[in-house]
Amino acid sequence: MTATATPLAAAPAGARPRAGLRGLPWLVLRQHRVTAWCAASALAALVVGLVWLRFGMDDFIDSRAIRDACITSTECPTAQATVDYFRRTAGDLLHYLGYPLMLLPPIAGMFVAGPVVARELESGTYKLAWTQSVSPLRWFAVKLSVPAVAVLAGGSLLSVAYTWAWQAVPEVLLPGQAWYHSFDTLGAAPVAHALLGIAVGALAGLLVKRAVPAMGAALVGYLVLAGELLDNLRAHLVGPVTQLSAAQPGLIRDRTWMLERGIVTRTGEHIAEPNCGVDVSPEGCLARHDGAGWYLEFHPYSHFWPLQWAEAGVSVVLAAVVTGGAVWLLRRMYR
Amino acid sequence: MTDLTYLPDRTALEAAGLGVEHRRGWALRDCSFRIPAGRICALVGPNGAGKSTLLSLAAGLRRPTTGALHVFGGARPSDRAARPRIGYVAQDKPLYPHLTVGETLRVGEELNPATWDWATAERIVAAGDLPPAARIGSLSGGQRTRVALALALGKRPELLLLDEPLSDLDPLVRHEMTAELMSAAAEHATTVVMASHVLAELDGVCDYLLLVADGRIRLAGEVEDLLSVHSLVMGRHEAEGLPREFTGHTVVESRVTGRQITALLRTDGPVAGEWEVAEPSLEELLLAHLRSPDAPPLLTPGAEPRMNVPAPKEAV
Amino acid sequence: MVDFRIDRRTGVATYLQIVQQVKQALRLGLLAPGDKLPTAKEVVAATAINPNTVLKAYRELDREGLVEARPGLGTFVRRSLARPGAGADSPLRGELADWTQRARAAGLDREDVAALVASVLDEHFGDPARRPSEGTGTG
Repeated sequence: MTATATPLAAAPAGARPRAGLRGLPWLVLRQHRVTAWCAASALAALVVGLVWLRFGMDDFIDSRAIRDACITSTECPTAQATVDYFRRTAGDLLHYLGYPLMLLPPIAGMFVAGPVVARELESGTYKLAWTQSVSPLRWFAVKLSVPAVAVLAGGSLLSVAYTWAWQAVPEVLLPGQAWYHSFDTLGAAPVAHALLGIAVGALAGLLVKRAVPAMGAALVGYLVLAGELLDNLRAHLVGPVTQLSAAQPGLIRDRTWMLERGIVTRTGEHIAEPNCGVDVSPEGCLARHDGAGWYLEFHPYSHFWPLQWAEAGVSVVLAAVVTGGAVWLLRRMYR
Repeated sequence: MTDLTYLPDRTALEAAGLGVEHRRGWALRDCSFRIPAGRICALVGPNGAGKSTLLSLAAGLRRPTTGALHVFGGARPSDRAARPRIGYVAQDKPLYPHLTVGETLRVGEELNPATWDWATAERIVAAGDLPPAARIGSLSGGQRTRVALALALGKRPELLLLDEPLSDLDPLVRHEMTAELMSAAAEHATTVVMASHVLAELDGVCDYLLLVADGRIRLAGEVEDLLSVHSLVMGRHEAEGLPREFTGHTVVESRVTGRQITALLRTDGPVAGEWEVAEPSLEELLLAHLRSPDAPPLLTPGAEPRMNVPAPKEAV
Repeated sequence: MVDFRIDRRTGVATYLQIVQQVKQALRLGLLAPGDKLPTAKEVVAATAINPNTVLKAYRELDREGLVEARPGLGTFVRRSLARPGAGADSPLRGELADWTQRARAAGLDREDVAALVASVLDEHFGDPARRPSEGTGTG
C-alpha cells in the first residue's frame, strides 16, 4: 500500500519551528481532519446558499408586492398564485436549509460519542495519549473543547445566516415557519442544543466505550433530553401572557404562539379547552362549566428572544451538568 | 570509580499490598516489591499472571483496588509531575492508524514538549527504513512495534514500561531494539521494566527480576542475588521422599529420573553429602518456580518496599 | 579499541567475559596504556547487554589496577599485560614452536599436545579451576 505524503510530516531532523495549533488540540484536529474539512465545506456552502436565498426572497417579495399578502385566498385571489409559487420555491428551500441546524445537535453528539471518544477507548489508542505527558482529564477536556469550539463558531455563523434569511419573510407568507415553529433553527437555540449534544455524546462515549453503540446511545440520550425535557419546558421558560375576555377569543393571531384557551370558572379555576361537544355554542359551553369568562394564554413575538436565551441557558446548564457527570466518571475510572 | 547506572537508594517503582480486582476476580493480589532506579527489570510470569495489569497500573492507566503503587519514591503514576517521566508501550502497541510515521513522531513532540528527543526517535525509525510518509495502518506488526518504541524512547522517560515489547520482532530487529533500550539505559540511567514470557530474551539483558504468577509476586530482586541463593543439586536418589540433607533448605522443585534426583534448593549454607551443586541459570530458576506454585515467595532485601503505606487491607 | 563478543551459552558470567577479553587484548598488545575503553553506551549498543554489566566489568578492571575511570572522560588503560617474552616474535615463542614440531614428529596429535601443555601449566601455575575466579586479588 502506498502512503500519501502530507505536509505535516514533511520536515525531518533538527528543531521544528511550527505555526498553528500545537499539542493536544493539534492531534485532535489532525485525527478528524477529513471531518473538519467536510464540515467547513458544508458550512461555507450553506452560508452562501442562505445569503443568496435572502437576497432572492427580498427581491421576489418586493417586485411582486406580496409583503402584505392576505392570508386566505378569498380576500385577494390575484396574489394567491404568486404566494403559492413563493411557498413552493423559496419557502421549501428555506425549510430544507433549516435541517442542518436542526440535525447539528444530534450529529455533533454522535460524532463526539463515537469517533472522538469511544473509538479511542475501543481501539486502545487512549493508552498512547494518556502515557505521553497528558492526563486523562486534559485529554478529555481537549477532546470536548475542540468540537465545542467548532460548533460554537460554525454553528453560530450558520444560525446567524439562517435567522437573517428567515427574517426576510413576513409570517403571512410562510405561516408554517412562524417563529415558534422554526424555534429550533433560529437564534441561540441550535448552538446551545449542539453543546448539549456534545456533552451527552462525551458521556455516552465514556460509558459505552464502543464507537457504534456509543453513537446510538448519544442519539437516544440527546433525543430524550431535548425532545422530552426541553420541548415540554420551552413554553414555561418565560411566563406567557394571559388574557381574559367575556367572549370566546379567536385562535388566529399574527406572530403569536398560542398555548391554551379555556374557561375561567366562578371559583377562579381554569378549565383548558373544555369539551362541550359539537353544536354547543360558546355561551352554552360557558354555562355548562359554570364559567365566568374565557382566558387565553400565549407568547407574543416579543417573547421570542427572551425564550431563545432562556432555552439556550437551560441547555448550556444541562450540558455543564452532563459534562460534570462525565468528568466524575472519568476520574472514578482512571486515576 | 566507575558509577553503576542503577542507584540502589533511589526507587523507581514500588508497591505495597497492591491488589486489583476485575470482574472475574483478582488480577493482582497483595503484591509488594521495589525496583531501584536504573535497573533493567524483567517482569516474568505465565500468560494471565497479571503482568499487563501491573504495567498499566504503573503507567497510570488504572488504579489499584487495594494498596498503593508509587513511582520515583513517593509519587502516584497519575500525578501531573510523574506522567512526563514515565514511558509505556502496551502489548497491542496502539498507534493512530490514519497518521503517518512522521505525524506519529510529531504526536510525541506535541504531547511531550518538555522532553521530546527527535534525534533518538528518528534514528530508530530510520534504522527500520520506514519512510516518514508511510501510514501506520499500512505497516507490519514489527514495524508498528518499532514506531511504538521510537515514540516511547523519544519521550526520554526515567521509567520505561514495556509490555512484551519484542515478541513480534525478528531476531535481528530484536537485537537492535534491545541495543537501543540498553543504550538509553546507559546514557540516561533509565529504569526499564520489561514484561516477557520469552525467557531467553532476558538473559544478559536484565539485572533485576519480578516473577508474577497467579497475581502474586513470587520472586523479586537482583538477578545475581536471586541466583546466588539458589542451587541446582544433582545426585543419587536413595529412598522415597526428599533426601535428609535437604532439610534446612527450601526445596523449590525436585524431580526424580530413575535413580537420579535433581532439585532446585533455596540454600541456607552448604548442602551436606555427595551432591553435584551448581548455580542455576536464570531460565532454570524461573522454570522451577513456575512449575512449583507452592514454593514460598522470596524478596531480596533491596526488593522490600520502603514506602510508608497503611497496612494493606485484605479484601474478602 | 576492542570489540567485545558476548556468548550467552558458555555459562561464564557476562561481566567476566568482558574482563577476560580486555585482559586478552592487554596481553596481545591490542590495548596499550592510555587507550580509552569503549563507553558503556558503545558496548551496549553493539552487544545489547545490560549496561550495568559493562560497568561492573570496568569496575573489576579498575579494582585490579588495569584501567582507571576519569569522570566525564571515560575509562582508560593504566598498564599493559603484554610481557616482553609473550610477543609474537620473542625467543620463547620460537622455542615453543621448535618443541611443538618435535612433539608432532614423535607422533603426538593436537589433543595430546594440548593435554601435555595443560598439565605442565597446572604444575607450574596451579589449577585454574580451583581458583574462585580469575584475576581477583592482585592490583
